[in-house]
Amino acid sequence: MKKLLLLLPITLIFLLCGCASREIDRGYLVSAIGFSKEKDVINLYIEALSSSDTTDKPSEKVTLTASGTSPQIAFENLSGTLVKPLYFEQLGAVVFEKEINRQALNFLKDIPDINYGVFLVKTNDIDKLFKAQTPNGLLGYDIIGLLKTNGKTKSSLYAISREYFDAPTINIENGRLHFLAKEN
Amino acid sequence: MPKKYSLHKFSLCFLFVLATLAANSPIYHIGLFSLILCGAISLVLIFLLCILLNLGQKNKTVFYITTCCVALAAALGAVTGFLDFFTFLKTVLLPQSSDILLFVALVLLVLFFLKTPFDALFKYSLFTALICALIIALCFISGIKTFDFNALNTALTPDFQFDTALYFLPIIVLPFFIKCEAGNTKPMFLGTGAGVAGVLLCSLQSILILGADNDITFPYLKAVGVISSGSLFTRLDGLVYFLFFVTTIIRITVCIKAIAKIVFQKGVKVQ
Amino acid sequence: MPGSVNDYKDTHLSGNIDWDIAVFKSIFSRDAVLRTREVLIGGATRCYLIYMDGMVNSASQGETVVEALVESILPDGFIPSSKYIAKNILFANEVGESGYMPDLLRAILYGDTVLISDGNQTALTINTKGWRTRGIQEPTSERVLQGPREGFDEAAMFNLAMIRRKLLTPDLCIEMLRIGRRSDTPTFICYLGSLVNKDTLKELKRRLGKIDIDGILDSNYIAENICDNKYSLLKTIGSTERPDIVAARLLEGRIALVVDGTPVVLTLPYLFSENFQSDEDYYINFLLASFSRMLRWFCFFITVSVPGVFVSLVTHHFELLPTHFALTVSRLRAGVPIASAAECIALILAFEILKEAGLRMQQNLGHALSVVGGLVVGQAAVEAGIISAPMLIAVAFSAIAGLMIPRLEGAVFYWRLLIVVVCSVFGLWGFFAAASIFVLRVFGITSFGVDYTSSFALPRADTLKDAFVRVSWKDMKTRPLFNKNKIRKG
Repeated sequence: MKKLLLLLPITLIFLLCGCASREIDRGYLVSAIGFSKEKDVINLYIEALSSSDTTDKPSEKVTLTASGTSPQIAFENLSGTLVKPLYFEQLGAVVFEKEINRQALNFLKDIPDINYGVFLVKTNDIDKLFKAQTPNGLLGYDIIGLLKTNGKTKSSLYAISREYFDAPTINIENGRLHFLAKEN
Repeated sequence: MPKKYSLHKFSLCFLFVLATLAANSPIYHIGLFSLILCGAISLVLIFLLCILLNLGQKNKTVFYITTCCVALAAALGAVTGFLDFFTFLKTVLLPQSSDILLFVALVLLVLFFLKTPFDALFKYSLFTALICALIIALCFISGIKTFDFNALNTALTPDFQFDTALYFLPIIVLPFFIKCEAGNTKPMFLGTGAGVAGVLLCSLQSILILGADNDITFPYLKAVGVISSGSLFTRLDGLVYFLFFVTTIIRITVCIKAIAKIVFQKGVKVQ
Repeated sequence: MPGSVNDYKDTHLSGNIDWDIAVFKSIFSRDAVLRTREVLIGGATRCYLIYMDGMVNSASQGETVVEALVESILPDGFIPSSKYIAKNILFANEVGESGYMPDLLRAILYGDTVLISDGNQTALTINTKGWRTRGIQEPTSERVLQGPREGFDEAAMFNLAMIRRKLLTPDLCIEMLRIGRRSDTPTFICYLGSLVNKDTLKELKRRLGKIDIDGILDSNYIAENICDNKYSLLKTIGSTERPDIVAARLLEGRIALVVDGTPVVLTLPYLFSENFQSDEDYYINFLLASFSRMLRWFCFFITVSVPGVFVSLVTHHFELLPTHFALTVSRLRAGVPIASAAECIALILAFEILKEAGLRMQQNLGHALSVVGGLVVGQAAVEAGIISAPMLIAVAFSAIAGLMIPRLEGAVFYWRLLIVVVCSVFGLWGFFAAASIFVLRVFGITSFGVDYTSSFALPRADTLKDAFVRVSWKDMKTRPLFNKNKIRKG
């Protein structure tokens, strides 16, 4: 009898194999998120890597956009149009247009998958930044590379409450990322 | 139990106290003062409990009152530990999984641990305590680059919150458990002290990285997650998952075993 | 029809040779291999030699028995007793006397010659064993680069002789018992009298006494009957085909069981850390041996954990993957039609099939199989997009690591599979839970009353000296913890 009771959970485990799991190639791996505000409308930009469903086609970068009166609503509007889920675990950078939006920041903190080590940067033209082709393909990781190469690694999400925190401004010209002139 | 298990008792107590780290409640936003105070009080409490348990062998009333307090503290420890770990599973580790499945799995796991003999549990504690100590040391050392020592100013503000005490109260189960099963209590004091030191070290790290004003849940996990020291010491969250798992399961097991002993075993004798 | 020799315990010799020979012929009436030969002792007294053709050494029998009997000179009218024949006539070096039918039958069945003579109610059992054995060869499953290369064969007596050559001490005790109703297999319990744990010995004898089985053809029949938990994947009784290993274990206070008909000798109690010991560890430099030992422990962890952890990382915990690795895995997994967990399980089973086929197949097919296995599983499946390269690498690495610890082969397979399934449902938490369950199970096992993890459960130098590393022989001053006689040098 005891052996039967032991076999039951083991059998159930085998039957449930793979349940509630996700596949890394069956979603959008988000590399960068951007927020801009025009009057009372928040524009949300997401850059992600999308794996193809067949082996002959390569993975491609996608830029998803949506709007809403708050970051939460913008995100919901975006989610409603997606055929695959968004995976935020590999998020590299969060971009704000002109200045850091605290409402957007609080929204991000509520997403449990986001690592507090993501970098926060600003830009003058977020639309241009997200739609341009970056040197290595993915904006988020290129921003990380640029920050690390130039020693500007203190603008992470976890350091937002520190006195010296200041998010650098990054723009893109002719396919190359660069800091705003006065911050070099 | 023979004296040879001193190190095992030390490890068990160390892990039991470390389970405080897995608290869901955002207790760390108030800083270190509350934690230091609670740690010191808990050490005093377990000393008092040892005296009361010895007195209780001669006076039944004292014994019953003491065991009632222990049982209540054990119930608190078991329930908070279970709920906190369940919340951790649900919100961080496995957000996609069904609640019922997680609940049942956790209950089965706890039952398995309860069925384990004390010898095996002690050896398991020694084995895992070593790993947990290494994890804490590794995470602290690799996170030094990210520390902001200005946060200490607000972290040491004298301000006490009751929910912090709730997480330290179950520590009074340890004297009862150790004295019933293992006799010698000196390793228990050392283990508890080491556990409190571990909690303080981890809290210090959380505060130095995330600041003292945050109300983040599982702050230690978030703090370790930001560590990126070269290409090897990065994404260390997995180690913290292990730490939370081991410490919480030990706490739940010890608390329930203590309750079972009080409720079902008549004439409990302490050594 | 009686099934065992003990069924004839009430049959006795009468002293009338015609009647007695008829009894033997009726017992072996359907055995075409039995031979009987009538000889006249000193030309006067009738006697019969009874033996099994093919099991006796004919030349030895002829010289030491037949010739001696025929050429003996007896006084007229003197009827020699069995004792007289044994002492004064026979040249054979081992002669026994018995009137107990089961003993006589055993002697015939084991290659001895039984001599029954007229007028005697006891018979002589003469050692004329001449059955062929495989001879001393190096065991294929326990090869060493340095050290003794002897291996046991199927004859228990020769095996005991090999052990005795290693331990030239009268302290070596060998007790015999027979197990198996029909096979009546001689089984020998060996131990060093001054080192053995008397409680363990008593427990062993108790368990052996409870075995009720038709026949023992291999020591595993006995092992499964006397082990502590028959459902445990971890073995609690050791086995070896090497006399030097048996001698080493006897010197640690263990007990060896030598079973006739099999070269595999059992040793007990058996500790968990012995699964990670190699026979060669004690014959090479201790630093090299320590490195190999630690590598085996590491490989055990790898072989059990890697597939499960990999599955949990790519299905539940993307945040733990380094960014470039995550991107690579995502790209390489693109288009794979099956879920990661199913892919992993399929690959594990495929590797086990390949391994098993490699063991069972004919040697000349080996090359073909390795090509098929490598090309089909490795290259074609990945290129077709049926499986992904990272998963194949993870499973292959784990399978290769598992080959480092052959003693844990079965346990490793089951645990690996279980951990993959648990990780696919519960992610990394499932891995921690499964690993904890495994560790707790190991800590709770005993082997004949001895704690299975006694060699490393206590953090002391004298217990750890031969667990994760092997210290120099100069520092190996004590025996394992379960032995009361701890000092090794004496």
